[in-house]
Amino acid sequence: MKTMKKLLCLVACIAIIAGVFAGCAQKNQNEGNADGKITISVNNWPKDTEKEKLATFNGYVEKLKEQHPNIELKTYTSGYSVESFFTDAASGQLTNLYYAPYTEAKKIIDAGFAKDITKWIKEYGYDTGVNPGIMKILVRDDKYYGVPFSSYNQGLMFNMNLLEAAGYVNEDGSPVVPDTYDELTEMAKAIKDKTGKAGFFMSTKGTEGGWQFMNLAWSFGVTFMEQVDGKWQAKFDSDEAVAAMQYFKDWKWKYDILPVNNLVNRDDMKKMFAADEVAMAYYTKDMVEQPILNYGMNKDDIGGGVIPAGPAGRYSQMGGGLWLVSPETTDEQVDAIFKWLEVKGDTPKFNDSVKASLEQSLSSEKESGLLVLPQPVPLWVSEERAESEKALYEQYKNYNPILWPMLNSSEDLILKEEPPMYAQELYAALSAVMQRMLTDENADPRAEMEKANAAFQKDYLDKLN
Amino acid sequence: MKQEIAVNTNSKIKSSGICSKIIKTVKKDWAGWLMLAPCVLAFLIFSWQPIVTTIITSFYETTGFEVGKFVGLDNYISVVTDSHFITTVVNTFEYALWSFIFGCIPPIIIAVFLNEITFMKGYLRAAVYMPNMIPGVAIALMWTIMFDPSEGGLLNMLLGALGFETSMWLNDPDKVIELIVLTMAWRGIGSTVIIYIANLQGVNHDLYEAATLDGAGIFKRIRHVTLPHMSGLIKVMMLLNIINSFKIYDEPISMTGGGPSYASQTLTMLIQDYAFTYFRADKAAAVGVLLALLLGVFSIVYFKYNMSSEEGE
Repeated sequence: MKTMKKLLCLVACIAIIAGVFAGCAQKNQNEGNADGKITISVNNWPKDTEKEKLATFNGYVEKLKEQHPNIELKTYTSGYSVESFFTDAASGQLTNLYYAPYTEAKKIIDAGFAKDITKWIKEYGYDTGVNPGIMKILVRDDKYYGVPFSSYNQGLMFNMNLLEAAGYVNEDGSPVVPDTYDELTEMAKAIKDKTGKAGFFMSTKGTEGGWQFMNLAWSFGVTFMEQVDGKWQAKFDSDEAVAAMQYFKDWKWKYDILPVNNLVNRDDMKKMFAADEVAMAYYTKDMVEQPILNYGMNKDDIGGGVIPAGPAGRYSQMGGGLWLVSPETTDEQVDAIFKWLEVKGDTPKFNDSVKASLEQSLSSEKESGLLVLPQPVPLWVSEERAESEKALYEQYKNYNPILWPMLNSSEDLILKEEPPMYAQELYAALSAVMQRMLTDENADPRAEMEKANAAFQKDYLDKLN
Repeated sequence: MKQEIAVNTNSKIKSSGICSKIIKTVKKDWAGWLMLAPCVLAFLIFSWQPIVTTIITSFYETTGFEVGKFVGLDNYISVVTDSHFITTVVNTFEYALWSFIFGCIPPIIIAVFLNEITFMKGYLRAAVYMPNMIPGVAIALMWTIMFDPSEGGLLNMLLGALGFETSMWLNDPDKVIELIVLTMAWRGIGSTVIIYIANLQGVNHDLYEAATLDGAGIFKRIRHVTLPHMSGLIKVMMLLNIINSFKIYDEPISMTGGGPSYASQTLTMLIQDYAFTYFRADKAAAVGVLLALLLGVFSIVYFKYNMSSEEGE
């Protein structure tokens, strides 16, 4: 009896230990099936609540089954998250194909979390078919590490209800678009005076403040860093940078056009914009989508225009979405991934299948009640594709052209990429200076910018030199 | 030479003696040891392995999470000389100070009060504990809404109605840490109060009676009977509170993101920034080790007090 008890005990313990090890086992994303099927995992899949988009994506899956029956797709709704990406990547839990925004590409590639896919980039024509200005984000030492699939540049969005209340709507119903930052300031002040609501919104929390500040700073002629004799030097203690920061500070203390809360990010903006608490803000695609999708804002209460110009010109930061491949992915899977991208339409090639996929996507956006706005930054080089896309966007457009004069484009608009080194760290440093400007009326922009510039040089750039 | 051999032989005999002792102990009750094995294994894998890996990582350069070149103390030098490290350390100590003020004294007063009252005792105990059941991030979001610095903010409306000037609340760098700690104390006070109340049940009532016969009023009874009885536990709870305050993360990250201008940034947030925002596992590990050393010192003090309070009982 005693021996039996001990034996049972032994079996139970072995089972528990085996369970512990099984629980610790890595999820294997490199699944090759015995029946010759190749399984690839993909994230950023539409959620159950995004019915139209999900139906479109399920349509792509059907098409994949028809064209490539040996490829199986495992889908995950998770997108890019600052909190979880690093742990997912370090523990080999990334999906084979994963989404990341442009701003994250550099650090992901530098950290070795993206596979070198040069062979397929060339084979499938991405090296020559994508706008080189965008593709260079994904190139290191002549090797390619990803595929861009969407692009945008920041523009200016308007809450038409507040503009109307303040008398900034023209006779034909179009918004008055401020051409310069001075005009924007004047307009925002008038809106604040007449409605009591914030005339303009800028993020200040985390790294977002610095990210948005780029637009204003470039338009004042700021260069954030330069390589002199092979050595990196921080340059944002210049007169131009100080002037831009002073301009931002004046928005708070001289004109009082910003929200009262000084610690805000884009999530706050979406809520405030939908609740008619903010009249104008920089926009990217998600900032137009979320007030409609999550907060029930009428799409025709939103207008938009090109970003204002400053003393040194009209500058707007580019952004968009990328597909990257996890390092554990096998060559067979990479090939399957590129076939999937072709089915989905994220490819420089243009044929009936790609056209149908794009059409499906635009149609679902329209059915969801989202604004279908043309892509302002050309992603694909092929003229045939660009022309056909333009025609499709024209066919499915649901925005009121009167509310979107010039559609975020202008002849003098210069598109900029993010700074070349330590962009996130730079954004964080600038956000801190912005917060200081907003919380202390006596803060000196020159002193603060000089301090931030010196700290950035010491903490980051000096380590490169 | 002979002596060396003698030493080696001695140590061999010694170590083989230890081994046989261990084997003997295990053999004596192998089923018991086997039952312990999963726990020991889990403890080694989930508690010690990350600690050891973190310490090792802090001495290497990393690419992503891959350990590369050995760099000695470079990571430590780099994080300590970072322009915002000192501010962050000072902030962390400030969190500890305010945690001491808000988190240590009020629970004693509330516990004594709840122990003394005779009506609605159960309801009040439950009410005090209630905030403890809400997740930290939810509490942080709730307070962020209440701390809205605009005139329409809940607390500002209250201030306005009472005729006071409105406040910038979390936007004020001089107040931000106090306010964050206040919200944490509001949430955490319940569990401390419950522990104190449990402790108070052990007070010998004869002492109260004797004190009353000697003419002691309620305050004298508390001072001369209740507080001396609680003193050991109070010391331990204070230390635990301070140790926990060094690990603050949820509240500042969701309420202020460390702002304004690093005014509410903590060491744990610095670790998060290095690891998840900048992908620098090596530097994150270095800050983690420094924080662990700091907490280690407090823990030693904690165990010392804990032992002395147990001996006192």
